[in-house]
Amino acid sequence: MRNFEPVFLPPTRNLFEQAGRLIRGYTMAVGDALLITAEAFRFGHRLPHRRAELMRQMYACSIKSIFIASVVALCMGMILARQSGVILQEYNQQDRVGSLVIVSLVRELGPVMTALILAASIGSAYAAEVGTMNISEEVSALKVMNINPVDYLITPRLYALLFMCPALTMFSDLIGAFGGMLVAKTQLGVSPQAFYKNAILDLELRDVYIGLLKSVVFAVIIITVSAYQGLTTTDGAVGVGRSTRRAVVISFLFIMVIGFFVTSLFY
Amino acid sequence: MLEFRNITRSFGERVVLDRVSFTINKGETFVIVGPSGTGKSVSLRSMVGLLTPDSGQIFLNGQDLTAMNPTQRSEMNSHFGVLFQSGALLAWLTVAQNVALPLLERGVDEDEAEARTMEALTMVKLDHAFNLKPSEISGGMQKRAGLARAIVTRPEVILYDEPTSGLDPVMSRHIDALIKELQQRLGVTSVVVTHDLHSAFSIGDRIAMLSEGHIIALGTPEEFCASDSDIVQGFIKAQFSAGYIRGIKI
Repeated sequence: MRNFEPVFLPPTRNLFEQAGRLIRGYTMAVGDALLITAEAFRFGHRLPHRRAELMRQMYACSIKSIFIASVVALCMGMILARQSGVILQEYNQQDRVGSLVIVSLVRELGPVMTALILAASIGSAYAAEVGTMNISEEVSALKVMNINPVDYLITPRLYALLFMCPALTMFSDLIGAFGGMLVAKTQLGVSPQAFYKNAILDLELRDVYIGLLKSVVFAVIIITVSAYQGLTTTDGAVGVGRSTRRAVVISFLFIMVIGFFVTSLFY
Repeated sequence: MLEFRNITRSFGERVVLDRVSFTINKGETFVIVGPSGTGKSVSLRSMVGLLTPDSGQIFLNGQDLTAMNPTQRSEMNSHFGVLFQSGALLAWLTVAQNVALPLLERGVDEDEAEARTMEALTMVKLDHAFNLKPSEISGGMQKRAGLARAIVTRPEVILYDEPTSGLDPVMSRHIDALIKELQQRLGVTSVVVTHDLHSAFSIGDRIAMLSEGHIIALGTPEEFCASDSDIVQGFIKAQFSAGYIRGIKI
């Protein structure tokens, strides 16, 4: 059971010391965040004991996020179909719009958009909730009761997100495909049969797997960032606000950057 | 039973505890008083391993807590029950679930946990509110629920962090009475951190005053009142006008 005690260092004397301290601080933060996540994975065997909390978190990740995920996915599919359809129409290739929309969604946009939505809604909520618990001594109370806060608070959230992020991604892909199909039919004159037929021809099972793998990686990023931010929150209400903002901003950055590397790895 | 030996703790360049030493005897109520920011809560948090001293040793029943690894240290926390300043109840659990939590986490059978939870809630006179969420009860009730959670595991030592802060005088005296009653009924050792001298004189067997990282007075309430330290006398006079407390002239 780790304590995140504030570290006080003497003032820096020059720019090199300042840079060194900054690098050291970030390295330690990344290390601590990864250790928290590793510890949360390690407590996975206790999930049956935490069924109620797991269900509560899965509900928050799925039902409470489904509306915003649906709206974003629907619009994304419609925009993709509209933008690409206009260009494809110039070459009389509008039948290919289904392939373009669905492959883009499954490979890239579905996992990324869903992860960004979950980072903004669930990741921020995790950081704020755990941060507030830290400030109001609830995390300390757990430690004193010999309950590991990572086991009690982070593990159910991690596994809830691991289960629900891919599920929500698949759902977003379907809604996005539906949105694309609507635009293709009403504005490009492409029949739903042609829309889906082309998509199925170009979409490989591998694309689905890689999209889902990305969503799992993004779920780990969201929980790693938000758990670390929550458990290291200090300075009262201002600190909770700061942790919440950092959780969202850092998650967004890592989702985009690591998303790029995962794509580069497979395509 | 519980001994602080030369405990030092700094935050940056600010030394909050400077080689602080004292011994708390089994079964006594030991009160640490002092103005805000003098290291009272730091002392308390050091006892349960929430803060690590820079140097010095803390002994419980002769065992050096500061020499233990984190796992051993966590296990030693089963000897302690802590009432936090805010109550520190988990918002999504009911009062009864909060109180039962440490028992269930230790693998106590559900029926036994329920019985012990109701017993603890009855002791703090909160059995009627077992099914309410923390947000549905008052601050005083939250503290009593926190107290029930602290005693439900039958600890040897109960630590109280500012048990009367944020409460009206009537509720504060009620909490004091509850601390005394629990101490008599359970025979536990109590360590109370407070800046409320009314409370300190009412419940304390011995009172220690922390100022600028040092213990500047330590003794029975009578000895504490008789201290020749200007800081102690100033602290007493700031909270009481002339008169008597527990028969002691001030």
